[in-house]
Amino acid sequence: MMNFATESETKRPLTAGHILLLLLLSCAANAQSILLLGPQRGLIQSHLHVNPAFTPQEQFTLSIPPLLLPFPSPGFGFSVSSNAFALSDVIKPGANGQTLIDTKTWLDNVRPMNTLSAAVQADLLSAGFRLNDRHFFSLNISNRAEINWDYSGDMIELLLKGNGSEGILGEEISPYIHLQGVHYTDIGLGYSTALNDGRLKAGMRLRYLIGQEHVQTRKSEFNLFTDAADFAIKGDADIRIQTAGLHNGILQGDRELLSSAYLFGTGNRGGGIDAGVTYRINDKLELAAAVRDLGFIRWKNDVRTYSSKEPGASVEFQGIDLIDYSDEPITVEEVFDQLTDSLLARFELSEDNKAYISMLNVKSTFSLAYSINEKQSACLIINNTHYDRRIHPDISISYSYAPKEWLKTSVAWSYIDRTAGNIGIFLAVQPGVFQWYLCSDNVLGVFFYDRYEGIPAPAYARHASLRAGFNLTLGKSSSAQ
Amino acid sequence: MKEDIDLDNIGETTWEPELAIPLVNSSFTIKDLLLEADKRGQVLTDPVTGLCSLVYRGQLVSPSGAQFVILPDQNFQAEFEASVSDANNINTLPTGGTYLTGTSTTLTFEPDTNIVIIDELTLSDGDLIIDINSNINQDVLLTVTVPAAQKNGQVFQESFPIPAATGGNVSQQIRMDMSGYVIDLTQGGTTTNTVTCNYTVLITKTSATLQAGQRITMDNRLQDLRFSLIRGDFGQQKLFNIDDRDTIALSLFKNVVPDSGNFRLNQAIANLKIENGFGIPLRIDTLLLEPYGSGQTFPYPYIPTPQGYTPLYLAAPAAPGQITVTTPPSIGGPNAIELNAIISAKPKNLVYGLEALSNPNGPPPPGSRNFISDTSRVRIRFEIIMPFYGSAWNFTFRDTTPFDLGSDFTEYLTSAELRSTTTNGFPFDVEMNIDFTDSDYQVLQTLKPETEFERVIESAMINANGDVTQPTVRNTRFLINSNEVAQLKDVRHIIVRAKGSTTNNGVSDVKIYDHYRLDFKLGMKGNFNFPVQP
Repeated sequence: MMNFATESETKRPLTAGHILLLLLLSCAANAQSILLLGPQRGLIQSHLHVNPAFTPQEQFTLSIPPLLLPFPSPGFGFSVSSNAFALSDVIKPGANGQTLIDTKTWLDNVRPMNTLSAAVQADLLSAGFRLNDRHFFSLNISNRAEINWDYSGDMIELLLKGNGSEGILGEEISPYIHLQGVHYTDIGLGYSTALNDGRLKAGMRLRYLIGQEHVQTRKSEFNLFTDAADFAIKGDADIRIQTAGLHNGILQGDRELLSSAYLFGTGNRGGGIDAGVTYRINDKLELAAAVRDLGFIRWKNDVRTYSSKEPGASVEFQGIDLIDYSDEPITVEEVFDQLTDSLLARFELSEDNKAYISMLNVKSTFSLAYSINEKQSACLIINNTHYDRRIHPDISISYSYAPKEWLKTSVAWSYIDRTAGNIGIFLAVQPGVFQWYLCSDNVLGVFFYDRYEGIPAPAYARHASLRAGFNLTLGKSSSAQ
Repeated sequence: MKEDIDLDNIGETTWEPELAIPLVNSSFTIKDLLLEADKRGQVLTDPVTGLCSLVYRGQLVSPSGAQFVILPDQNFQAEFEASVSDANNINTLPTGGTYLTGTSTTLTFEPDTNIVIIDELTLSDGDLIIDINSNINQDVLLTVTVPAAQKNGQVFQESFPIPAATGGNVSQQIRMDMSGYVIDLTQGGTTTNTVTCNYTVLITKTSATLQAGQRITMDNRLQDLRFSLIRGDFGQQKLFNIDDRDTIALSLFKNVVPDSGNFRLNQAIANLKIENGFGIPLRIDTLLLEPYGSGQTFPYPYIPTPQGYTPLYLAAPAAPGQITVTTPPSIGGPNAIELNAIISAKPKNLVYGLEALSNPNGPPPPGSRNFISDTSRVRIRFEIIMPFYGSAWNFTFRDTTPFDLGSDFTEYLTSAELRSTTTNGFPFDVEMNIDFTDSDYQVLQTLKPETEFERVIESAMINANGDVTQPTVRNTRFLINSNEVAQLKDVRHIIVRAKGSTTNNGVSDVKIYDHYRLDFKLGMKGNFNFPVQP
């Protein structure tokens, strides 16, 4: 049994602060991809996580936990994104060592539709083997988690400013919230082949998925109207939230997070496929396209689905009827209670434990690479995440330079989740058989951080990502040479 | 890295939402509006026109039959004395031989008043108690018989042994239950208030010798008498006294500020309904109707009754358990100047009383004798009906009500705005203001301090007949600033001051129908400041 965690580490309970941090870290729908990994076609991670048609230059690549001590993973990455605020805009140090929550800045920056997302990925095993110039095989085991939270600006305004505030009073608002989070183990077998004298390459990766936790709002429809004349409140709601794996462990903080039973034995199984092609137009230009995360997980353990008992039922509260209270005084607090009771009674949720299937968020990537010379190249990448019935595109333009055979560098400008000004870097050092790499789509977001409960987190940028790892490489393919 | 953020030590911050909630949404009819503050009144609707009237009712009740005729205990004596002949006859008997003799007595029944003549008395309760003292030295069986008293066809009769007096006088008390007996006190139609009691003495010879002059004395007492029915003649008595009055509180005017405003009512009427449960004809000789209110003055001291209203004869019911109902003509109406003027003076009470005489035509003849049961009563039902047809102007009300916003609420409220919307289908305007007071009724603040009254309800439009043609909508805002909010937490009462007038400040007469409605909505928008401690 694999178990890298100590008792004290795994049983630490979640605090309100941790949950708040998790929520604030959870941002844009496409945060789980790292754009600058796209141009690094000689890295097995680009084969595994960008386009299965990409293949590393080496004959054999191996990445297993002991190779990157003291980390339990030989490769890991994370990305966080928020298009409304940076973490330091909202969570700030205050007087006497206290921490302040600045909701005003949040309100000032909120947009009609906002996203928070985060993704974490830890590679437990990555291996690649080139049979010959045409055929390449790979195997990987990763643990991945991503959470995406879309929320409308009027929902935040409603929560923070109240229904009597300007812009809400007298207006029919439809506060929107969509939450999707998934945590799973990904076991993949990949294959890539070269066709047409190497001008065309095609790759595919078959994936076996084991789900740990999931949460998703299948329906989240709210409508609210507060009459400006008499403040009568009318609303309706249709809610359906699917959860799995949340109640019997993770929310209590007593999961052994790195145990094999947790990573491989939950019984929530699924499958998926990644596919990609590259086409070399000429010696300078190469087109590539890939689609990833065409997959699903069937959740059957610790499943709770919460649904509106009366979907779409509307409730209107116009105040109490004084005739009913002719013999007794009534306080404003009691009116508040009546309002609350009316709303809760109408919006009551039912719960069931039926198994359900969730789909992964499909990603598609298109790139055009231009080889300037043997040491320099440029690349345009468009990455789309299909999430919540919308496409969330990111664009990156990168320049790569390899001054030495053992040193590769890239720099990129990216437009990610409606935020520009993301400057990314890539650095790979490969002295002999060892290969270290480091990649970030917004390096400023990574290196300017605060420590939250001792945990470093990007605090001053709306997007931050980092991927780093270590590979053991053997041999050079003839095609690469 | 710039900062270390301690998520376990998040400082207290504030949540400052602006919350708007509807407080009140009510639709009032005239019944709701009036009866909310006037639990004693009743709103009646004319089934044909829908015109509403406010009705106050009262009831003056006579003493019950049991209180009207009191039956005191009745005492009477009887005695048996052995004569020489009795002694001789008995002494010649062998031991164990028997000898029958007896005596009787006649009781003259005396009610508490000598004008009551009783023909027949049905007792619901009562005992005949006899204290016996005997010195007869023989065994005696005493039998008491009241031939005029029957129960289920059986004559009253009971027997008691009296032992022989051998060592001195024998004393004993016997008690006989008379409940349920119907007693004829006419001695066969020849007299009244009279009943005879017979005593049969059966002597059984002992070994002793009876001496002439030995005797049995019997002290009789009819005790704790309760009747269920009396027939006879109850004479001429006053059933109601003019000093026994009933007061009807016109609670509509209870909260009217004295000497405020004017009120004009056009068709007030007063009705009497008299239910006679006594089997006695009655005559009402005097009827008093007058307004009353502490410190109030009225244009007329009393409400005159119509010509020929008194004397008013009330027939007796035909049989026990029945009543006769007499409904004299209404007092008042469109031309009744005094009643309408008195009502327009907003009396807080109406007082009424009367005098009634029984058997006004003298003793009841045979075949039409009086009767009363113990539960018989005469009820005078009085009602004053005020149709809502008239006008009022500058009618000022004042009412104090307990009020508590709730400490949790006021603690976090920083300022507030109240918005009211009235859709008035009634033909009256209302101006009002509210004083917020502490527990000692000291005014802490006033809702609209810059003015005495704020118009919150605007009269509906009316036509020439005084009927509403179109409701009127009025929106009003009241602002409560932060200083005033701070005082609200000490508020324990509110004093509602209101001034009302019918349309056009009372110049036109208006009518109020049962379909008129006042829709009132009140909402509050408050700025709050909630501390948040994660």
